[in-house]
Amino acid sequence: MLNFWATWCVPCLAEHGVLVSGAREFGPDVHFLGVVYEDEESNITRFLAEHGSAYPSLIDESAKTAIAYGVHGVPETFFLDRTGRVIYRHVGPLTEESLRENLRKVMGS
Amino acid sequence: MTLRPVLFFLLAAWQPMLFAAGVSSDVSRLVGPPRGAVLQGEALEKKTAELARLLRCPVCQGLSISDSPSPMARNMRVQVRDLLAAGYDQEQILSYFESSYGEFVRLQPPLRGVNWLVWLAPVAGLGIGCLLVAATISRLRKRGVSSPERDPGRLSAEEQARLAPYLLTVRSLVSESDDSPKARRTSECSATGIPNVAGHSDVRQPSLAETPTTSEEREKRMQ
Repeated sequence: MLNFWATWCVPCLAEHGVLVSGAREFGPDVHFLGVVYEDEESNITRFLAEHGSAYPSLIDESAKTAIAYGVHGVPETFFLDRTGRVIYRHVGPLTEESLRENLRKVMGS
Repeated sequence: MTLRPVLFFLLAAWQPMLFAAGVSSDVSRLVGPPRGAVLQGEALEKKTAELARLLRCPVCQGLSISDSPSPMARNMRVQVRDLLAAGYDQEQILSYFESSYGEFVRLQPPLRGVNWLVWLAPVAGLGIGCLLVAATISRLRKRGVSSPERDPGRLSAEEQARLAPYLLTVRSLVSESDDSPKARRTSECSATGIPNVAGHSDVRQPSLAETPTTSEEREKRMQ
């Protein structure tokens, strides 16, 4: 699961809790990865220290990764299979239900 | 299990491992190896600006990445420049962005499929419009209907024929009423069947006394 987010993005804050508990629940079966879009390293470190983290987040230099994935804005999440193929794309913040539903789709594929 | 301290990595270091290939090789995989000239200096800046006008900013619809001040547009301009410097040509670069954002990202839709309509529709519309105008003008000429530029003082043959009886009536009344100037001021001419022209000092009107009251009388007078 590849989640594009930013500390200045208000919906990302609510989604962050959903993703952290999802990462803990689905553990080794699903790799969770955050990609931080248009942000400063100091802001990200502070945000993660404050709100917790259960998976790595990476800085997207010059938004190259966001452009490669065709991201329009944050939050935006991609669910990929083991071969790296995008199975589903979710625009906007994920809820617990939508996260579970999308993970089930990917794991069942 | 909580991962503490927080796992935090720079994408630059992790990208090759995480994505199996970096962004540059990702471009090659999608559009093939660079097939243009490696640009630098002024030529690079000029070509970057030219290409930036052809790409739509995905977060501010309707603006090119050249016109948009958004960070996304700035990042896309940087990437266009990097790709040009790496030797990718215009079509390769446009195709690369298209693979991410779809054809929407191109401000000039390529000539393929239904896109032909975008280019041909205005020309076809103009042609059809010209044909309609020509057909309408031709039809009006055939009917003898005058155009708005016609001299408003001139009457068509049809109008002249319709007005002829009235003209005769007026002329005959005028010639007869020359001897009774007092009768000129009356406005009872509606009884004669001719238009009321009261108030027009240059038009003489018949008096009620000399107005024919039946159609037979009127016809006699006209003869």
